[in-house]
Amino acid sequence: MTRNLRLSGFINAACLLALAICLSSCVMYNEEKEGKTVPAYDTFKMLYSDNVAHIFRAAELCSFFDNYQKIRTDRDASEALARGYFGSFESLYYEMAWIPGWGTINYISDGVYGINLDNMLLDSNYETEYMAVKREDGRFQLYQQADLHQEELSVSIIGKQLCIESFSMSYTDSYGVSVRMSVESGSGLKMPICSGGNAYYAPETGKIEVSLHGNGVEDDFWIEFEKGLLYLNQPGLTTTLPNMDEYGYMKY
Amino acid sequence: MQHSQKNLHLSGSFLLDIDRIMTGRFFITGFILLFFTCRPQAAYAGDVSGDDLYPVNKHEITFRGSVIPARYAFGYNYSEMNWGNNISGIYESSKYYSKEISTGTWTAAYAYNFSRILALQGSVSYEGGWNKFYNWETHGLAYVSSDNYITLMGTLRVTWLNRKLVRLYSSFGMGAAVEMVRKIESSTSPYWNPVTTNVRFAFQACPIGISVGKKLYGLAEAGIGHQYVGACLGIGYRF
Repeated sequence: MTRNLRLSGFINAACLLALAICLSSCVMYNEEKEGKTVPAYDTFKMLYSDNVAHIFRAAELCSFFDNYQKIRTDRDASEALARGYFGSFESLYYEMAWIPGWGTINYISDGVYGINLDNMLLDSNYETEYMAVKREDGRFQLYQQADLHQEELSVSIIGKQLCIESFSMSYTDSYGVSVRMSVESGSGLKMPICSGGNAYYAPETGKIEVSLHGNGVEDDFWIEFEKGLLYLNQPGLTTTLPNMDEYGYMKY
Repeated sequence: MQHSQKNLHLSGSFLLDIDRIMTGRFFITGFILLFFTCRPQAAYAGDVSGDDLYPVNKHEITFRGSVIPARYAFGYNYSEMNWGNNISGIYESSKYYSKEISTGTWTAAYAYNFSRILALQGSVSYEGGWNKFYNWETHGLAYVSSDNYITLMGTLRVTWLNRKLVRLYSSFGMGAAVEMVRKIESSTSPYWNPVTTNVRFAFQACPIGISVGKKLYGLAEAGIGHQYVGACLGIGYRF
């Protein structure tokens, strides 16, 4: 009897040990089945996020504040205008507005505004402060305050459409890669303006040229946007990719 | 075609694999725990039969393995995730794919029972991982890295349901994890980097654990920390 009980104990132990080994054994994580990445696309997404995406937010602030200045004595209409753009607002004074998720815009003089973007997604290495100057043709010239990377930036707002008409920037990163991004005049990046707090992330149309050189990287390509799609053009090769839709249609 | 950055598809891989693994593992675990809970248990010599009170065995030893390895809790592999944060890193990492093997986390422990409720436990754990990077063009081995962790931990355990066969408990432990990292830089060079050793703080919280059996018992725990994230299974012996 005692021998049987001991045997039962050993069987229990063996079963439990086998169980632990089976359920807790080695695990393999294999990237091969996920397929090869496209480094130009991954790089472009990073560069776009760091250097371009927030310009649209600055343009939306410009558009709103410029229209607001015309009706600012009418409080109800002003608040309705702010909600129409951003869904909500934190502060709305004659000479300053703060829209969480976008940033703060200040009146400097007629047609001249100072913009300080909320930098939730940006670190201090990237531009968050702009000076916007309205030109005679109604378009805005944006100047960056810190003069980090950008050389040229012109934005227009026509009705419900934002457009980065021209843009160029260049710098060499800390790993020795020389980066140049540009939007040529006539191939501007266009996206619908924000509405009720909903904002787009990626342009619907337009073209950006990118040049990368140094530290083992030699690549020149240009990206063309269409609704929902993105074409990566390299010499002799065009790759169709989703238009950065993992960032999608943002609601702040 | 895969377009996401290195750091994104690493986490994607983790979720996919774990999801597949866990579906099967939890099913099997549930079945076997049910088996051990419901089957008639043989009476061991020295048991007090017919009474819910049982002799307190002062000493316990356990051996357990993580159902989900503490791969990410330990932090190994994080160094690779930084590849995606700079341009040359993105281009460099796109040349390779990795196959990574984790041993899971294995823990041996001794516990002293002050009473039926309170116990103090000391444990030593091991987790190892080997990451091999292959060239997309040639599928040849290009880089190898390995990380090994040994964790020493003291744990306070409170048993809040005491039955002869089934006990439920919660525990919290703190200690130190010793990380040993080694990397080979190139497949064309036999040179191995020396092992780098780091000591990190480690903890393990277990809100609920169950042990089934008398002297010899099976255990299952749910928790989070540096020994496991999710669940672990094991065996123990009280004496």
